Amino acid sequence: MRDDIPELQNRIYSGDTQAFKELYDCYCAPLLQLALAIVHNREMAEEIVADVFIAVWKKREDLPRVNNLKWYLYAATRNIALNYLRKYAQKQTLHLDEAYSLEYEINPEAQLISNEMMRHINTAISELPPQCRLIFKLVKEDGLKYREVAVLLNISLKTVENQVGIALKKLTRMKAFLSTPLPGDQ
Amino acid sequence: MSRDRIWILLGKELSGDISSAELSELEALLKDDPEAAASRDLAATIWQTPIQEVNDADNSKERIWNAVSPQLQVRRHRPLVRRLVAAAAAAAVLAAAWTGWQLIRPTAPVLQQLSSAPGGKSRVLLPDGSTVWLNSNTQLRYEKDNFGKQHREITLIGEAFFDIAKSEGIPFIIHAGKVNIRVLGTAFNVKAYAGDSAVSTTLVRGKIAVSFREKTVVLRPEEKLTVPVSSSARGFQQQHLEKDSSGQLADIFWLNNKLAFDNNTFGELAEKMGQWYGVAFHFESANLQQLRFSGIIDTESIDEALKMLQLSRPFNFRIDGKEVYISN
Repeated sequence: MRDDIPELQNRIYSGDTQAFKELYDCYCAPLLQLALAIVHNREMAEEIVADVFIAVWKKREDLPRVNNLKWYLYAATRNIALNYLRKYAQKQTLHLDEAYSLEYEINPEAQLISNEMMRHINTAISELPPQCRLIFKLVKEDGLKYREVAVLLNISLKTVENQVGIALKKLTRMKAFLSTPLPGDQ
Repeated sequence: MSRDRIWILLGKELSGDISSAELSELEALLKDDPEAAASRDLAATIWQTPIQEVNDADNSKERIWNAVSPQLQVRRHRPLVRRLVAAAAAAAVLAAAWTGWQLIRPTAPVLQQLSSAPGGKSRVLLPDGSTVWLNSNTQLRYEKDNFGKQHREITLIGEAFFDIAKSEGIPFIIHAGKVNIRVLGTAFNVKAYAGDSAVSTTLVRGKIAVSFREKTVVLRPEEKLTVPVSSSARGFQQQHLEKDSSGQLADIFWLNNKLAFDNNTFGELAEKMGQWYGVAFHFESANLQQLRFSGIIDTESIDEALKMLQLSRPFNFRIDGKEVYISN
């Protein structure tokens, strides 16, 4: 995640399409994942993310009034996704489908951690329950605050805290088991 | 219970979202639990491990960008449609009103407009799963909210290749000038630029019905129908197309980044090349426009393409930005 979002925001405000593309490259994938987790339909999720970015561009004259563009993008994605659900599936509640599964791949840029370890960690992450995995990813990878994730997914702050804790607990268990294999240990 | 509390606090610590009270609580808990204290480093390692979704995110990213990028164009000649699209986008973020944005409620129907710039081509995915390849300088419009419900209707200005997804009982109708094309799941090309003297439809597979005024013609694969646009010309022109040695129909060469021409006049070619490269041609004299050429332009620049044409017929050219001057 880049830390020069306010600068991008200013450049987009002044009509810089290159800056807009950079914002897109940075947030397209995480927003798509959020949309997918809500609507469970790739085409629909793609359309939702397109709507979000088109809205940002069309309303760029209002950008100086947005305090936190990153949070705005996530919130807009969530809102548009829920609107789609209401429109197409008559579902009012946010529901994370158990069948929704993700695969994770290794980022070659992270050289401090061995490939073997990364593979195991990513496999373990992909095996977390969907809601737990989404919350963990939003906090850890996308760098959202606990409070933001709670508002985004319409869950309590306690649930976010618990789910991140559960994810860490499960993941460290897996790793501890790998690094110190004990005979007869389950 | 306190063990779970450790994990919750570790998560907050790693995310940087922890209060000083919680931090002291964590330190106290870890002091009493050496096993958990050992896990603290492992948790930090896990936190540093980047996770990345595979799940053909790159394809999605490209498709989404194809839908977003045409909206970045500044289109001077269609202010009304632009405003409607802006309203559609605004409607989408309506629920985010708390951010303090001023929002515009759209008046129905909301038009979705997709366009390709002069010299650019793009592929778009319609909400019903149909794919449309837009040739350069082409616009496609449909009602965003109603598309796919009882009908699938779009308006085309320019040239596009359609691969229509089957949708039981919901016909796909294309309005191209005064010609209407009705489809039930097929692939075909429609050419209907604003300056064209005729609307031509080339069918690749499936079956379509083309209607103009009161007449309707059913096309079979590899047939092409040309409907003149001017009010004086009333007839249809239907012809069977021959595939060339590459096994492709010349009418859809543009799909593969090829511009094909067969014994066309320089005037006709200038129109095609103008759309292809996003330039305007100017002829010094009318007889230059009558020169005839055959060939295929692939990945050549306009300069290279004109030099290629010079090999078969003598003429001079000068390129000045977006203007091309042809002289004797």
